[in-house]
Amino acid sequence: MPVVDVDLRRLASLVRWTGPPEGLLEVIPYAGLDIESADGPLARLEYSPNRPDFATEWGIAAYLRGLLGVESGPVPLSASDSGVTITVDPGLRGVRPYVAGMVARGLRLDGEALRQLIRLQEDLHEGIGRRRRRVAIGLHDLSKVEPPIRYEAVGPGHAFVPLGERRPWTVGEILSSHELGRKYGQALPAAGPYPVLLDSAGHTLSFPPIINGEHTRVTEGTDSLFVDVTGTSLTRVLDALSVLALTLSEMGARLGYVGVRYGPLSIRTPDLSSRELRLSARRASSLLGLDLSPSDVARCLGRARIGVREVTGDVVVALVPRYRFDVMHEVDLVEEVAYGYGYPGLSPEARLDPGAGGISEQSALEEAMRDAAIGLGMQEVVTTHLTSRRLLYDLMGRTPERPIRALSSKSGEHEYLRDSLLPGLLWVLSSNAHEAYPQRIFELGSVISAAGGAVRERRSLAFAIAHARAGFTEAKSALNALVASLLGAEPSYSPSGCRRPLIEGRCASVSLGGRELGIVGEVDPSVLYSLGIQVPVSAAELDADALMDLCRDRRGARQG
Amino acid sequence: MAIGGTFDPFHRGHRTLIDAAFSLGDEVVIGVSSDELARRMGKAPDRTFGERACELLEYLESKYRDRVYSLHKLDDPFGPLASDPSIEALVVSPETEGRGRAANEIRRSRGLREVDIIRMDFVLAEDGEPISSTRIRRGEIDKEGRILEGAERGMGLGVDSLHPLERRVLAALRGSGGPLDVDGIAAASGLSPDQVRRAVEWLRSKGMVRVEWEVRRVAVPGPEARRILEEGLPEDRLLRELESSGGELGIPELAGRLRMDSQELSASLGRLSRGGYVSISRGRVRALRGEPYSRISLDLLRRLVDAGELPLDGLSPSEASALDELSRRPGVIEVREVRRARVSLAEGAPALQPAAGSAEEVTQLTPEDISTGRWRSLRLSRLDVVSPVPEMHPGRRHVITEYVRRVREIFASMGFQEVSGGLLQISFWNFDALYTPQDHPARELQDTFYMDVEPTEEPPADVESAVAATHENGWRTGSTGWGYEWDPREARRVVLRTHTTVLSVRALHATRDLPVVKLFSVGEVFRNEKVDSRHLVEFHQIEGIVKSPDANLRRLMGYISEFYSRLGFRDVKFWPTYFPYTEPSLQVMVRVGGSWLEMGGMGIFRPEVTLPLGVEEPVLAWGLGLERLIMVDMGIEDARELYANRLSWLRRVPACRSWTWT
Repeated sequence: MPVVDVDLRRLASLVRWTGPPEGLLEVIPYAGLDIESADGPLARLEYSPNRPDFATEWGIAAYLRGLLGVESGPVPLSASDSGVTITVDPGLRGVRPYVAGMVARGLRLDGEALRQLIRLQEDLHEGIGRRRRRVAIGLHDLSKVEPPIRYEAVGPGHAFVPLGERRPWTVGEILSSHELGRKYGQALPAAGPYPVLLDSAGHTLSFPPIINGEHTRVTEGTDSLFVDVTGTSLTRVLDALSVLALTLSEMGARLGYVGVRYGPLSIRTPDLSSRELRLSARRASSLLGLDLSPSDVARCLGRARIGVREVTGDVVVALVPRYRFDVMHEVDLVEEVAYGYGYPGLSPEARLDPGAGGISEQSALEEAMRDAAIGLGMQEVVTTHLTSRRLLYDLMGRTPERPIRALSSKSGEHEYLRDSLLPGLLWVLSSNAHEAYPQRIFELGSVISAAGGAVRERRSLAFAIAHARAGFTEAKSALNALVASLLGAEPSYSPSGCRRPLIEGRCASVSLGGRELGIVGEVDPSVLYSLGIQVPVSAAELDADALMDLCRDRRGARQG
Repeated sequence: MAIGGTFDPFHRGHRTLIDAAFSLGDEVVIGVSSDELARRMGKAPDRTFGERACELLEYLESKYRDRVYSLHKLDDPFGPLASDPSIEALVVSPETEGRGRAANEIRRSRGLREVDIIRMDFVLAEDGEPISSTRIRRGEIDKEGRILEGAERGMGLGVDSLHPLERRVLAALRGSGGPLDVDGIAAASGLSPDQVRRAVEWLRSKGMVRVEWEVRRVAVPGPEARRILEEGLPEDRLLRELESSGGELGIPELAGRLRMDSQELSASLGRLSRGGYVSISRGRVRALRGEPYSRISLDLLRRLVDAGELPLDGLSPSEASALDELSRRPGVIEVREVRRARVSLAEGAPALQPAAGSAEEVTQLTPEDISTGRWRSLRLSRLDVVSPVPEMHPGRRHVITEYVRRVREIFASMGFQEVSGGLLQISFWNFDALYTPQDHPARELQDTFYMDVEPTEEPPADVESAVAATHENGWRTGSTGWGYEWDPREARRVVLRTHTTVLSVRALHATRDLPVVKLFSVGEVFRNEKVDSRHLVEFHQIEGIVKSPDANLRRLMGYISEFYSRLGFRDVKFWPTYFPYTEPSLQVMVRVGGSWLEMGGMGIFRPEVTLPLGVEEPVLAWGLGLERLIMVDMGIEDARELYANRLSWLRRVPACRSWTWT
């Protein structure tokens, strides 16, 4: 979740809040913002990635003024013609075809406003911009720009002084050697052409989505901005620009339209229009559990800064500002109604309806298995499904048949899916080698194998017994007792079918009624030694799915 | 030999135990309870560990300063006894006997040899009752067992109260008519020397036998003794070398031929010249007498090596002086003091009739004792019921599954049916069916575990085409959709489920024809995280859905409030939040002490989720954290603790917790 640092004193003045600024902390959560931390008048707020308009104090204040009843209806937004145009080179069609622009005059950018504006820019890059691939934004000092502007396709040899540099770099050089070029270059075709924004004096304003030119650098005190937004989706380009339009307007700027010419076609940006979206008052009431009239709904929408064109019967025709592109569906308006209504006023409705609830058959059977193991004095443990290749195979002396690996785990300790519970149990014994013996532990969990190509997930029940005189006999006795207490039957044992980490000759495969159940035996001392376990260990692993099937068979036989 | 206690106050009984330990063993290990341990065992010592240990040390230094002993501070009831393989025996009083047996349990479980437990009877005060710290503190007696007030009681010692070993030792002494040493008593009584030592010590402390220590000095061969027997004394080798060289040699030549170091050579030459065997002048050595340096020395050494030890008092004067001379050479002979107990009957020791009817005392009843009726003639010894016993560890559920079971009970009792499902899922169910766009950051490799296996299943064709259209343009859901080209291959990549919501979505599809559905699940979910105190790679989600024509947000809040209130969290509040697949969306906070903690998320599934599944009704859904709940309930700060499987924690964590029966 993105975060924004706010000064509650400044926020209070923007909201025209008359109480102590810290009082805003009671209100902020009900606007959908989480308070990550608060220290006196300074607070760090977390906001949803679908609300980039919350990236600055100005955007937050505009919404809060509505919820607090200071203002109602949509945030007023207007622009006049700036006379600035951008002509788009058709050669950029397959590269980064879309561009939009805007002019903002009469700003007083102090350090804080500039910092928050850049935060908003970064947030738009990361979220809606998908790491600049889909949308990238450039902010320029308008006084250094000589319109008209061209959005041109250039080759790798095109050179300019990038932001923060002293000498001209070629586009090719930036892509291969500049930090930002290496980071964002894959958004562009390797072979070119490459997009740049040039003004009529030949200055390179920007090489999107990589870096701006030094020439139009924005500093504290810059009073007029030229904003460019480029990208691969016109909708997203205009969405991003609309958030900047709202924010700059709230900062006190006069906005100016920029004309963008795609050959014969011409559009005017930013798009400050609204979308119509119809909302049924009955649906809003029903989903929220409230009894709201259509005019109640309209009033609530107004508090959430959504416009209303008209109310006809049950239907409220809402006007959704362009910057609220998170509103995709009628239900999104229902949520805005809830914001406008006020979440503190929504009370839980207790409903203890009778129902045929219950735990699943699998859970019930697994609880029976746990009870059986616990009755034998075993302590349950819970280990992870993802583990290391070292534990799963190397330390056990097993050769993986078809290991299942996570493609990009952040840690080798959580990389391979377990196909047996025994390595995990031995790991537990290893990490408890200093605890009092005897140690008898068990685990019931999922194991996954891909032997033979088909992925098979099943439940498994395993136990391990560790103490100075642990051996095969005790493990077999425990296994007999476990099966007898679950199924009232005694399993058969065969010396074949033994597997690592158990020792050949001191290990048996177990079956019941013709079904393979698993293995039981003594753990190889070489495994114990490498794990630092200093007492003998015997262990068993059983197919819990098979045990559950046998249990079902038994019940079926009794009933049928 | 080990002994332990609190030693507060340090009384005659303690001294008797310590004396016994020193008389029975070579090295004595003494454990002194720390203040903390003493309190834990209900002893409330009057003095600190330092004060108690000092007093003990004073006694040890005054009496056993030339013996080997070590003092240990005990933070648990066993100390070195539980881990030191070199301890062979433990001296206990009846009060601490149980602790000895407990220590042996532990030693057994660790594969250590059990220690012999040498039980000393209580040392009696003047009134015939045991000296005990309690009595001293009560002011009945002083530390020596003298009665401080009240009338003297009669001696209560009878044959009846003697241990069988004691009676056999007394009988042997009576039969011999004079003092015996331990081996003598063992031979006469048929007991082992160890049993004899124990019984003698008991009897001595009761004043029924006298023990006199006979100290004898003996010589034993040192490590060099054999070499000297084989090669002869260096002086003899030197004389032989001189003889074979015509009776005279220069010192450097002599040293070279004999390969002696200069120190040994000059010591030998010194002895020979002092004894008149050689003369030395101007660096040359000349032989004066043609006889060996000392026959007596070699004979003595041979006798010593053969016998293993020789008492010094049996040597002739010439042997004594030869021994004296040998003992000055390093490593040839050692002289030791050997202490031997001479045990004799004390005056007034009871005359022993191996009496019929005198009861045999046993500590452990046997099946035979019961079936043969022998129990009638047995006397069961009084047990020390206060001392610690070995720990037992019951079989138990892991804390996590215990909580899972409780959560299941609550939802089942609220009318929800449990569902479960696989850990491996195709992205279609885990993401696409939940209206998560294919380029959403949550779907990236760095957040989600994609597994290198073939697709585990095919999505149902009708659902797939509806989901595809919903992503691209909203289909018939009334939504704008995400506006991108949906890729069916991306939907078939296999992931470890990132939430149990995938189970709810599948269940919604499976139950699409039912008008009302209430389901829950509790299961593991996976996130590709760096593990730290707040992030785990695997954790559990508590998942649930309610599908009903009249489902709404306030009822959702109602179900969740009810759930937390049944867990004991009565104060619950809800804040709005955002999830891609629910609208409106809420997060739930519960109050713990003075702070509100976020426990999970919930909302009403978007129509973009439900309509492609064939579900028209609103569906309430939630995913709550389980580990968070456990941590809050148990006051755990670090999430990794839950999966560390530390037996010390799992075995001891109390089953009664704040929410267990609320």
